[in-house]
Amino acid sequence: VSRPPYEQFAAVRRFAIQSNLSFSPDGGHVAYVQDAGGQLNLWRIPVTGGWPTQLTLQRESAVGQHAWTRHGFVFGIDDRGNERWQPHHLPEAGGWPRDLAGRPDVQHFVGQQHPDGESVAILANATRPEDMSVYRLDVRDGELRPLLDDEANYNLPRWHPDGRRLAVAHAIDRGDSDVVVLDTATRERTVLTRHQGDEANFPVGFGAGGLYVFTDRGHDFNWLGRLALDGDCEPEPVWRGEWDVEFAGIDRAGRRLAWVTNEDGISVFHARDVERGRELLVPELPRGRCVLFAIAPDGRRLAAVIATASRPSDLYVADLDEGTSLRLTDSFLGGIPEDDLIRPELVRYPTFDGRRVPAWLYRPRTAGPSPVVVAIHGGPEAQDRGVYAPLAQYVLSRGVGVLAPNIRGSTGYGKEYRRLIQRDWGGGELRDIEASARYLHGLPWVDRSRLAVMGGSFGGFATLSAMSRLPELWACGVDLCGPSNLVTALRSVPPTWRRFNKRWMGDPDEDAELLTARSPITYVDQVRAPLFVWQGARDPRVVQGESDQMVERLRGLGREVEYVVFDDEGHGITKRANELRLMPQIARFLFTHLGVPE
Amino acid sequence: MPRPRFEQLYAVRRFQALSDLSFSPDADQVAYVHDGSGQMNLWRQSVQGGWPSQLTVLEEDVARQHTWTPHGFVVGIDRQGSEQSQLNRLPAAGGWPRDLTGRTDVQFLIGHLHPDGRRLTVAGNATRRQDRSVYVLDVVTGELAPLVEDEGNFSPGPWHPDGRRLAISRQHSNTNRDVFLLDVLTGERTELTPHEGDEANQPVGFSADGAGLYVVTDRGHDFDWLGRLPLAGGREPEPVWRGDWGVENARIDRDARRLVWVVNADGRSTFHARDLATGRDLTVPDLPSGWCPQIALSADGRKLAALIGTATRPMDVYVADLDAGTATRLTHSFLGGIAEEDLAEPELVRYPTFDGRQVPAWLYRPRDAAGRVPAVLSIHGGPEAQARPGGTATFALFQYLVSRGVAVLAPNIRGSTGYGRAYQRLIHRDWGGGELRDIEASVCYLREQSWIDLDRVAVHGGSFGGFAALSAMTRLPQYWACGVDLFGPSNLLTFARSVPPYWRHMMRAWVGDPDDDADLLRERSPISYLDGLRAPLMVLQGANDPRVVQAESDQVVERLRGMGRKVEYRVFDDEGHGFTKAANQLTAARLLTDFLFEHLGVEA
Repeated sequence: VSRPPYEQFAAVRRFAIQSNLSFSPDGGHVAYVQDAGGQLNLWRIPVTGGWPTQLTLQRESAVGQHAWTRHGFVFGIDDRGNERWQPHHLPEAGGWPRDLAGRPDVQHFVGQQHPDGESVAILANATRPEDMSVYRLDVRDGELRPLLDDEANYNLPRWHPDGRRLAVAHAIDRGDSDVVVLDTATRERTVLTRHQGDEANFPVGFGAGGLYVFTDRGHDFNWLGRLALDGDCEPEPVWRGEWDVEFAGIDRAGRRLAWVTNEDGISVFHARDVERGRELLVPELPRGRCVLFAIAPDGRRLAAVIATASRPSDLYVADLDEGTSLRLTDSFLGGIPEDDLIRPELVRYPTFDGRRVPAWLYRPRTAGPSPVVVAIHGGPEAQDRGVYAPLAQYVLSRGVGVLAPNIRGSTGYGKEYRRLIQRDWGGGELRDIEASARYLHGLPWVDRSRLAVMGGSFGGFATLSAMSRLPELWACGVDLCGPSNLVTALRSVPPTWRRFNKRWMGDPDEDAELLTARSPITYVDQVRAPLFVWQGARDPRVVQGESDQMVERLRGLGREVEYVVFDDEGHGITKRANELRLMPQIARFLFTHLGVPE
Repeated sequence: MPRPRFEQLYAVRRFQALSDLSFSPDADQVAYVHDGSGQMNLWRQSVQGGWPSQLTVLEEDVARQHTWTPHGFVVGIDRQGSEQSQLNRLPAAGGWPRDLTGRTDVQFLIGHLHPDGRRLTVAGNATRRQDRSVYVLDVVTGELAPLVEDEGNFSPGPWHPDGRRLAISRQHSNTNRDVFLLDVLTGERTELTPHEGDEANQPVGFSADGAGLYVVTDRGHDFDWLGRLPLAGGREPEPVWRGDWGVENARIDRDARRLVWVVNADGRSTFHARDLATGRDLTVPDLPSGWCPQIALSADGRKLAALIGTATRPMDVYVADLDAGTATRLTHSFLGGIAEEDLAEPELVRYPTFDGRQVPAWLYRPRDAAGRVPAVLSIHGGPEAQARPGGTATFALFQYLVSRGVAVLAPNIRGSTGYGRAYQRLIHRDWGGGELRDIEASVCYLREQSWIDLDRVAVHGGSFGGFAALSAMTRLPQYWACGVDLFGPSNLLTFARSVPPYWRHMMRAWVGDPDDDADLLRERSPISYLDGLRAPLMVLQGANDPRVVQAESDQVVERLRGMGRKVEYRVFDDEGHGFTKAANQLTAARLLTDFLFEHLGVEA
């Protein structure tokens, strides 16, 4: 059995998740954000493969979303993880990015470019910190002009080919949004998705026959539909099934539509000529999770960043005309043969209310009984997709199993399952975690006295809940930037999130009692096992106070806690050097308390 | 004149210029060492260009030399610039390096691969610290067996086609080298280049019939020339190429069908190739006119890989196909997005010095500066090296200075290579002597230019150039507004005692003996003249530097501070002789350019 060092598993170039892929106007290149060189920077590469050109040279800050116009690139750069992306312009030939907004206090998202290629839609909370408004950025003069600026939260701007109309999603609440079409000339606004109750609607793009949208209307899963613009308001299904549509895009002419469905964690690619109503065959792409997706302006190619169980994210391009696909990047530098890695098994086990929890089970190749880490993903409205994770593969190589459940609140299994977490943090999902541990207890190769629980963000909260409220189950726990006190956490989330608080977790004033009853800090004295806590000092989502208060209380109680704060990181690790510092520390902590030799 | 940002001009991916380029055994790929990841790592790329694959993932440690064998790569890796390279094997497809030599206290240098593709000659000081011995490393098992362990500084040369013999060279000084033929079975050693006095001989490769050895030699000539030395008979090399410039590099393919060599013509590399079977010269496809510090020839002799930099384009890898007559640029290492025409081209000037000799120098003049401009006199290291346009280390610095209206003069003072052996030898045992007067001639040349501001001239240099900068600051203090010393020796006595052990036997001929020549060395040391220093000084040093140890900088800084002089000092704890990490290189560059601008009264 090979025992590569952690650094070999982690020798991975990472793509920025809070980013996108953009094709050059001629469709000949793709731009992406990756950390080769140590920081998340913008790169471009020919769609036929070849030399990757680094376009930005950020050292401390990361590049976020981008658009490739005929006047060059427009992209966001934040300040060391603070997520307040500032729009910048860079000529296509390279040079140095020019800051266009000069508003370091404002969060900007770079949206879709206008069909004339002269401007880009920008989202920003420049007027009221809690509202996301829509602007039009003129690429040449750098002026930002408001298009929609009212007390609302807009996203996903999509231009009509006429260049006059713009579709946007209006987020009303969690899981409740409308598609609105704005006539930028008359300022007239039309809501295309009038509905009652909760319904999530998002625009994909204009194309043959109307506006393509994601919607969950009348269905437990997101489906892809087409809305006529004349106000009929009933979307006609393009693809509707028992899985979510997770990505969709349409070419500039509105002829080719491509989309990705998430089928039990695996991304499946689809394309259709919507003008002729013909399905298109998508060339074979790796079986895994699509992380980023784009369709070329001419509709010929799809670009996708895909991660699989045994290979980290890489950029692929599928040529719909030629029927070929190609991997453009090679981001796994460690050179560990894919067969040496552990692929997970998708398992399901019952939980308290009869529901079944889907989970990825990784069994080490070593002889048992084995310790196991229960890894809870963040979100909570997200999904563990069973793809390559350096830390998981590293601990597996040392004989530690991993169970990565998709407890209630996870996406991918229908909105009913997803909504179970809303206003119930620290409720049902904690019992799902308990069910996960019980499931492990029933496996003959598992050593039930050596289970650990670990997670980041919401997963950190879940870890703290499990450590404090199910203390008998764990030998140790690892919390990465998880809220410990739901009342203080809700008061410190970014302003644009606040209108969703009530539906999401609860109102810090009205629901204080519930939130206190569900906060790990309330049960801190029950924590028995050693705990590792990591926090980024610049985190705008889960502020450092969340970790500080937990650690202080634990230390006051004389409990064993290892606390690591990184001054130059936010919600998660962006710098490679920091990752190489933190992860081996976490692994060592796990090995020590799970009784495994390094 | 555009004013690109500091970060733009310093957006240069650097190559490890001391590391070879190598072809894959099938000649379809080229490997090189560069810092695209932020640290020097090994990469490979198709000869057609395209995606570059990073093969090592070093962060703290440094990839140095490498070679590509049928059993994967052998890579020299040292710890944070210590230069105590250990040889590692790495699968050609990538993976994780396995340390074959496993020491930390000695260094190993890569030699030549045996025709069996498995035995690799290496040089190292594992037997005696002060000597360089020759060993054979089994690339598969890692077993290391000595070949030559005598006293002296030996380097392995190419293997004879019979697989039983190989050429080795023995270095007495930078200008005196012998070549031997060693029979591995009998241990018999035959001297191939008997000579009196200094003569520098370097083996290149054996002829296909095994009867001759191609060598680069300066026998009877002021410049290095390329010859074929018969193994039998009179042993007088027959010239292949002999001219009034030196041959700076030569390679022969596996079957000795083709010979490629590079001539350094007044600082510019020119390429030559010959078919050895027909004796006909081959046309080398057009390559950029600049400086080529490294070449490789594919085993089949068809492809030539070259690392080339020009004044306006930092080093990149090119591959020339000698059969197809095409050249391909593989890498794009300048990321600053500045058009080449917006960068400064230097003028090659020459001016007389005290003894009537002419000093060649590269002059960068700001294009549209109004009035008199400040200037930086930049002295290269070595001293037996040459300032040439295309050096990655100076590209960004010189362009940045010029873009801010600062002129740069980069002279090749005596001791420099490229202008004949006699000129090179002038520095031997005369450090702080004639070359300081060349520096004075250089600053006087600058002062004669009507567009130079006499009150705003700085001196800058690294390694030997740091010594020269310290000498100039202390012994010619009237000329300088400020000075920058990067890891230069300040005290030749302590320097001569603290150089790496395998350098010590050369010190007497090169600099002087710390015991026998103590008076001379003291008299020539900047530390002896510190009270003469007037202008502000910056000193940068790597804590792990094995060549110029930190004490060389410490003593100068301590003494100056004791005297109340202004000195800015920064030690980099994780670097050696030069900056291997991109982040440190940027930090150092920012420090020194800010310092220069402050004291030259220039707005950054």
